[in-house]
Amino acid sequence: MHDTDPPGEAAEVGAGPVPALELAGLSKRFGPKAAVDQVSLSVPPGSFYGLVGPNGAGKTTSLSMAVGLLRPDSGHARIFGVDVWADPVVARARVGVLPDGLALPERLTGRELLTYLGRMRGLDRPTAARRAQELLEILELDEAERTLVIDYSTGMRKKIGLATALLHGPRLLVLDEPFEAVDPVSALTIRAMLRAFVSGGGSVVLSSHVMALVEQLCDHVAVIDRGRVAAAGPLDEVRAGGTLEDRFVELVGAEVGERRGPSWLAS
Amino acid sequence: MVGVLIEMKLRVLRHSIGGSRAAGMVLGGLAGLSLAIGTIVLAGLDGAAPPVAADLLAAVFAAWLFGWLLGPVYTGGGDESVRPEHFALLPVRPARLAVGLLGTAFVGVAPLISLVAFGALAVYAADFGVAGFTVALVAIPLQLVMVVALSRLMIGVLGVVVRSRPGAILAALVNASMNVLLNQSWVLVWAAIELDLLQYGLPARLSAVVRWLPSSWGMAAVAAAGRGDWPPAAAALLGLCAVIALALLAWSRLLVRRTTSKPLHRLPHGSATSGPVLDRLAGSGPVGAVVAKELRTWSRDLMRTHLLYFAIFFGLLYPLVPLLIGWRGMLPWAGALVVVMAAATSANVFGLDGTALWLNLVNPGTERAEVRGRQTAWLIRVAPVAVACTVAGTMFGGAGWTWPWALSILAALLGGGAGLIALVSVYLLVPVTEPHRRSGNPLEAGNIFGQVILMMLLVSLTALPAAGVAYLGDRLDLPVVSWLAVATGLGTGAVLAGWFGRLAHRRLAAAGPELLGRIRGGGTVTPGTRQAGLAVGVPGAKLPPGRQALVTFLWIFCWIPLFPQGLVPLYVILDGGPAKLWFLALHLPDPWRVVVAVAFTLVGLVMIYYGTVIPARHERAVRRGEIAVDGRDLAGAG
Repeated sequence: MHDTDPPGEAAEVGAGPVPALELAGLSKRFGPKAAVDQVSLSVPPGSFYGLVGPNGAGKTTSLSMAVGLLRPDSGHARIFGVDVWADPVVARARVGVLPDGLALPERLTGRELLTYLGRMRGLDRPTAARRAQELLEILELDEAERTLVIDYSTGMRKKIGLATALLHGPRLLVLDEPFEAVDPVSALTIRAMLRAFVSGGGSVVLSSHVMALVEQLCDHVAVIDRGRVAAAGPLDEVRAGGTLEDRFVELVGAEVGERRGPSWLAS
Repeated sequence: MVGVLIEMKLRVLRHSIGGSRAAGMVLGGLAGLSLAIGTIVLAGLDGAAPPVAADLLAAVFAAWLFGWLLGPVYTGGGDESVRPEHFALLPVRPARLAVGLLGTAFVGVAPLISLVAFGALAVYAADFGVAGFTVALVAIPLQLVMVVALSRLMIGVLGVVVRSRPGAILAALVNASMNVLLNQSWVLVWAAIELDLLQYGLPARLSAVVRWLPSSWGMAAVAAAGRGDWPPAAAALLGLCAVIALALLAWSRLLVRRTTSKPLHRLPHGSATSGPVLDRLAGSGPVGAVVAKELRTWSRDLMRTHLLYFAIFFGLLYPLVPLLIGWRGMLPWAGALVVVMAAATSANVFGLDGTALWLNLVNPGTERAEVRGRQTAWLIRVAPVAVACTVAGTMFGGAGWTWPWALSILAALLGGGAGLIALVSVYLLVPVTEPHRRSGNPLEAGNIFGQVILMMLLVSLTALPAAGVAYLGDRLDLPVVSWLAVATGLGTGAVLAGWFGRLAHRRLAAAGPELLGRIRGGGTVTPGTRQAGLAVGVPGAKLPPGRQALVTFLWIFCWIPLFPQGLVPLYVILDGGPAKLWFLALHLPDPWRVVVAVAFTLVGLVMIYYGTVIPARHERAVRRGEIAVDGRDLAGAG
C-alpha cells in the first residue's frame, strides 16, 4: 500500500544529510491577514526540535502546512526529501502527526480506533491489534476499554491522538502541543517515550508554550512570531547564554517590566 | 481498504444506535420499502398505455434519483459516521479513499431499499425478452451505484458550499421546498387527477426531461436491447459508468479540498447588522446588549441563519403551491406560517449556543435580560417579514373579511411565539454540537424534530382566543367585533410573551446548572449500556423498544388525522370550498362532514397526548424507582 523503506536512508543531497523536515518559504493568508509569511526551517534527522511562539503566531498553521493538512499559498514542505504537496502518499507514510483539534471517529473505543487506522495504514490484522494493545498499555488508556472517544477527557484525546501518530512506526513525529492538558504522570511517560525515540535515531518536532519543557527536551528550537521565524537553530545558539524564556520575550518584543494588570484590580 | 472502512462504519453504528434511532430506522425502512414495492407494482402495471407506463416509471426513477440527491439535505447533511477528515493523515490516494468511502455508503437501509425499487427495471424488462432482462441485471446495480455516488457528490458539494452564509441560505431554500412539497403533495395529487395522467401521460416536455435524466438510461438500455439495437444499449450502460466515474473523480477532488483548507468565518457584509445602531442598542442597558448580541448571532451563526431562512421560505412557498390549481385562499396566511415555523425552529436558542450558557451562570441576575433580549431579537428578526407577508398575501389572496382574521392571528402568534421560544428553550432543551466544534454544516441542528412539531402545535394554540373573537365577529356580522379580534391578538400576544418569558428566566435562574449539564451531556451512549444499564448524559429514561416504536409511530402519523383529515377539511367546510380530494370527511353527506372531521382531529390529538404521556409516565416511574433505567420492571406488577 505504501513505501515502507527506512526513510533515513534516502538519497543524501550535496553536503549534509537530508533534513527530516524542511520548510521552504511557506506562506498562508486568511483573508487580509498573513498567518504565515515565508517560514523556512530545517529539522536535522535525529534532532528534537521545539517550536515556540506567542498565541496566534502561526505555529499550528505552519505545522498543518508541513504535514499536508492545510494547502499553503506558496512554498514547499519536504519530509525526508519528499515534497508533501507533490507526493503526499509517500510523504505521509513517513511521518506521524498529532494535529491540533483533531477530528476522530468519535463513536469508537480507543482500541477500535487504533486497530482500524492501523489496518488502513496497511498493517495486517494481528500486527494492528498488537500495536494497539501496546500503545494503549503504555499510554494507560487500556483501563478506559469501554469508553468511546467522544467521552474522553482532553488529556485522553491527546494521548489517543499521539497513539495514532505512533502506530505505523514513522521516523519523524510532528506534534502540536503534545503536553497540553496531559497529567504529570502521563507527561513523564510521553517524555520518556519521545526521548527513547530520538535516541533511536528518530526526529521529533513539537510546538509548546512551556519554555522550561522545550529547554529540557529539545536540542534545537525555532521562535515564531507574527508568522515569521524570529530565530532558529541549536538550543544553545538561540538562547545565547540566557534562558530561553528571556530570549523569547526579547525576540517577540514584549516588555516584561511594563506588564500590568487591569487598572481596577491594581491595589 | 473498503473492507476496513465498512467494518469501521458498522462498529460506529453499533455504538450509536439507541432505542429511538432504531425505531426511526425500522419505520423509515418500512416506509421506504412500501415506496419500493409501489415502484415495482407501477412497472408491472397493465392499465396504462405502454408509452405512458414507461414515462411514469422514468418519472418515478427520477424521483428516486432526486430523493438520493436531496435526502442528505433533508436529513441533516447525510451520514457522517465515517468522515474524510478522519483519514486526512493516511498515505492513501484521494481517489482510493473516495472509492472506500463510497463503499461505506452502501452500508445501510436506504441502498437496500433502492435496490429493491430498481428491481422494477427487471419487471419492466419482462416485455423485452431475454436480451432486455440480461441488460436489466447489469443496469440495476449500475443505477444503484450511480445514485449513491451522485448523492455522495452532493454531500461533498454541500460540505464546501454550505460553509458560507449564501450556502446556508441556499440550503434553507432547498430544505423548505422539500418540506413544502411533502406537505402540499395533495395539490400534486389533485393536479395529476385533473390532468388525467394515466390516460394522457406526462406533458411532453416533462416526459422528455425524465427520459434524458441518467435515472432512465437503464430503461433505455433495456428497451434498446429488447429491440436488438445493441449500440444504444451499450452506450446507455457506458453512460451510467461514465456518470459514476465522473462523480467519483469530482468527489475525490472535493475530499482533498475539504481536508486541506479550513473554513473562514468572515464577518458577513451587509447582513442587516449595522454596527453603529447595534452598538448604541448594546449601550442602552442589559436587555439592549443581549438584543444586539442575538441579532449579530442570528446573522453570523450559519445554523441560525439557516433555520431562520428555512422558516421564511417555508411560509412563503407553502401558500404558493395551491396556486397550481388556482386556489389563492392560503396567501393571507403566509405571514402566520412564517411565524409558526420561525418559532418552531427557534425554540432551541439556548441549545444552539451550546455551553455558552456558563456566562449566565457566572453572572447571576442577568437571566431576565438574557431571556427578554432573546425574545426581542427574535421579534425584530421575524415580525417585519411576517407583517409584510400577511399584508401582501391578504391583498392578493384575501377578501374584506380576511383582514381582521389575518392581522389578529398574526399578532397573537407573534406574541405567543416570542413567549414560547423562551419557555420551550429552557424547559425542553435539545443538546446540539457545540458551535465551535461544528463542521460548518448548518444542517446538524440536532434532533429537534419532536420539539419543532410540539412548537408548531403550541404556537398555533396561542391564536385561538383571537380567532374565536374574529369568528364571533363574522357570525354576528359585526365589523366592530371582528376588529376587536386584532386587539385581542395583540393583548394575548403581549400577555403570553411577558408571562412565558418570566417563567423562562425564573427557570433559567433556578435550574441553570442542570441545563448546562444537559447541554454538555449531548446524549452520548457509552458502550456496554446493555450490561450496565447506564446511559451517560441521556436525559430521561430509555423506553423499552416496543413502546419506543409506538411513541415514534404516534408522533410521525398523528399529523395525518390532525391536519389533512381533520383541521384542513374543517377549514374547507367553513370556507365552503368545493374541493374533496382525499379528505375523507368531505365525501360524506352533511351532518357527518363536520363530525368525521372533528373525530379525525380528536384522534390526532389523542395520538399526540399518548405520544407525550407514555415517555413522561415511564420517566416518572423510573424516577420513583419502580423500573430500572433500561426498562426492566422492578415492582413486579406493571
